[in-house]
Amino acid sequence: MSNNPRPSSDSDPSSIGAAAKYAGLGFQLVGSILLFLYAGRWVDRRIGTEPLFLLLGVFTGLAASIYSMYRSLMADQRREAERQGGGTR
Amino acid sequence: MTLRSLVATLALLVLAASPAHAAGTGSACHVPEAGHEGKVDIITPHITNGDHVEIPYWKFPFFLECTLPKWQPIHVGPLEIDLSPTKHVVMLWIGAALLFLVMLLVRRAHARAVTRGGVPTGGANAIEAMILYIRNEVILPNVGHHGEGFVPYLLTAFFMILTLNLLGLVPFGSTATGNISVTATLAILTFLTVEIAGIRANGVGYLNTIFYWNNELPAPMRPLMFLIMSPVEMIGKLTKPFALAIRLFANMTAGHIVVLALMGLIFEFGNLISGAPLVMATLIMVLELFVAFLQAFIFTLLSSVFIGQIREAHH
Repeated sequence: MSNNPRPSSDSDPSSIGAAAKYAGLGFQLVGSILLFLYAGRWVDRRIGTEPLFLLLGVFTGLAASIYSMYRSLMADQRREAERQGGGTR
Repeated sequence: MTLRSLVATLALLVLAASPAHAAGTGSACHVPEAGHEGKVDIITPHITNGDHVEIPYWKFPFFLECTLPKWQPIHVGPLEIDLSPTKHVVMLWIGAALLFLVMLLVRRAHARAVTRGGVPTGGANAIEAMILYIRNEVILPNVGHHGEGFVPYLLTAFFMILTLNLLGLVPFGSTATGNISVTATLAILTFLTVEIAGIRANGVGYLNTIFYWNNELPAPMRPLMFLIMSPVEMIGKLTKPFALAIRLFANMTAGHIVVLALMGLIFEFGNLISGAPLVMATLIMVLELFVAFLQAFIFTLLSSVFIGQIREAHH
């Protein structure tokens, strides 16, 4: 990484940028819960098991989006460690 | 030389367009009738789109109401699309023309200063400082390697949003960025830029950003996690531009509602304590000036962060 375009100083905008990656996470959480909720409701209405799959859907959506959040955080942390040469965090 | 011919072309276009507009169905300016009794809604007409524009007038009430021409809707398959210009479309045109003119002047001032061996002064220098700041401190650090190719789009988005935000603050103006369709279009452009950047940077690996297939999981878990996580990944992809569109729209609209509501308080309270809302409206207006710059900056920053994020997704 000889031609790293990141400026040498830890100037403000890059740290804002690091936080800004997570600016849409709330919408993702809501979106995936709603998606699985409606999918569960659809299944319920098809096979008449209300409200089993609706409830399952809500928790699946919540768990899945938290897992997705966790994965992206871990990936960012790994990248950050790589960028700093595996040295001090 | 180029600039003069361009200005002449623009002037010709405007001249050619105005009789055409007049010939359309009912494009006319008139003094708005005064004397509404009772309660008047001043907020909704200001923040929503409409088929009227207000232009300055030298006599009371100092503005003319111009009805924009109504065009025949076009048909695309079963859809009927009305492409008639509206208030916000006119603001978009004015913003684009203004930006075009200012940037050409800046470019000329810059070229002249460079041949003289110095730096441009005044407004050209100010615009140059903004461009360099956005380029070097916002776009390049966040987009990553060879981010220069994304600078033109992101700078254009920044200055267009800034111009539209500021046009909403001048008298007779209207905030085109306070219209969800405008911000959604900007967000879709960013979305397409991000996805195309991802395809170019990752090749086939781009599919990993849509579909979730983890080979480290035990074999029966893989299809199950694929079914659960792929929709979440897709939603994550779509909510980013959605949040961009909502953020810009809500910030611009909310600021205008606050200012207008405070102005409304002046009339509600009468002479007694009308000074207080006036001071507050003035201060909120100054805050709005800051927000106009801030939201343009945020949009550019987030766009470049998203581009950088997808480009290094394969690591």
